[in-house]
Amino acid sequence: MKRSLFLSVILLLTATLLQIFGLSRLTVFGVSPDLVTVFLAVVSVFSGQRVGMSFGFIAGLLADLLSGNVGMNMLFRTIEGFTAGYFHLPENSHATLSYRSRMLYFAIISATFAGNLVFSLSGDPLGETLLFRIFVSGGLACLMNLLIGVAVNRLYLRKYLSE
Amino acid sequence: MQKFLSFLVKHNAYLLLLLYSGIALLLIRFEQDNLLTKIREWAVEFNASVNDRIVSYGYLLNLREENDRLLRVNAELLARSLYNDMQLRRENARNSMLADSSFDRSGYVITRVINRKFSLRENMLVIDAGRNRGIRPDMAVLTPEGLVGRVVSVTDSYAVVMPLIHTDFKVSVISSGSNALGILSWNGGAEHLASIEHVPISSPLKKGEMMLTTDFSTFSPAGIPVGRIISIKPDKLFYVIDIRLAVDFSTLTHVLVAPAKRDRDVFNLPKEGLLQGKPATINRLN
Repeated sequence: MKRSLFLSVILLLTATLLQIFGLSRLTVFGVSPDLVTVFLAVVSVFSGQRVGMSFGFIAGLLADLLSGNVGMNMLFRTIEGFTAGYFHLPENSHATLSYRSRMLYFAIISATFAGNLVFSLSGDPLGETLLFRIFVSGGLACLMNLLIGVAVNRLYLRKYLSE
Repeated sequence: MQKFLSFLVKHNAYLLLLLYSGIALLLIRFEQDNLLTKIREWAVEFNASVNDRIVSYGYLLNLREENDRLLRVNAELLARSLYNDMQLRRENARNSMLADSSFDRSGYVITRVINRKFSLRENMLVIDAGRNRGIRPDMAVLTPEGLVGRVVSVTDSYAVVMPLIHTDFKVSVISSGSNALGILSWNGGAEHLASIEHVPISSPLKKGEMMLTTDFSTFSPAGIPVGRIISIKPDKLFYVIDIRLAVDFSTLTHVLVAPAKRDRDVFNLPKEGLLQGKPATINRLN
């Protein structure tokens, strides 16, 4: 238990650093893929809403300390963890592999959409309309993160989901 | 008590959400607090230094110094040329009093753009010059082609620049031919297009005219090119004007930071006593 928690924290820190210094540079129409959101969705699906939120809060705190955008990342990462937590799979769940995968994808999409919604309501640095920011940019962000989620699921998570 | 405890246990996820969100909102609310400002400065410094290193690996070892030296020389020559152009324009267009420059060529700082973020979450440039090289907030940033933006935040070694293509950015502009005044703003969309507001339809403005910064700006020296008019449509009282920006933001590598304007103090004058019996109204134009 302790080992897996430690591993999760290390993975979270790595994902946050990769996101800030790497993936945030890859923007398509002002939207970049978000590895941290995918990670939070995975943690929330496996460990529940409270753990997802706490991980989101820590990831946001680190991102705030590194980017200088104090408070904003904490808020939207917490909300991402909270939203993804609605798709939590209990340990004794007898759900099929495809159902579990679906839950993971729904968690990624909903977390991305919720995080994007918070950012869309908080500011407008590119001058897009609110509806555009929420639905077009949000949709694009969901698609990008979903692709990462599918890749992570196929390459790594499948064996854990089937256990 | 029992009920209250069971309520807490039942809804602990919501309470945790409230707690975390509350902390985050408090931090956002007290963003201007000294400690948070220091943390933010430290964060910008750290982030910029990491990005600086990442960008630096892109340079080939031997070519880097030579390339930088040539770019510096080039930028310096262009800065001189820009300065001369500006002085000439001033002499032709303004009277000798106004021509007393708020511009000081020796104060130009040539810097490298080390980070550029153009996304829904952040829209800013980071340059590798800060307080140590005399950079202060509200200095104008430009290239020989035209205005790039204004410095909004400074650390010891780096500065954050709000680019002209930010929805919060506004600057007063004047047309080179007809001397029509307006306010330039960017309302989103393409990176190379912006619009000019508050130009009355009585102005003799023409398509193709170059728009320059004016003396009314609190941060930018006058006469910096901003863009060229590509379309003018009359509305009820004002024209709807689109301009093609002079600077290509997608290829920025080096920029010049102009010295702070000497006449900034005029905007900080006390509000009383300028007009007898009436409070002074000084509109602070960007």
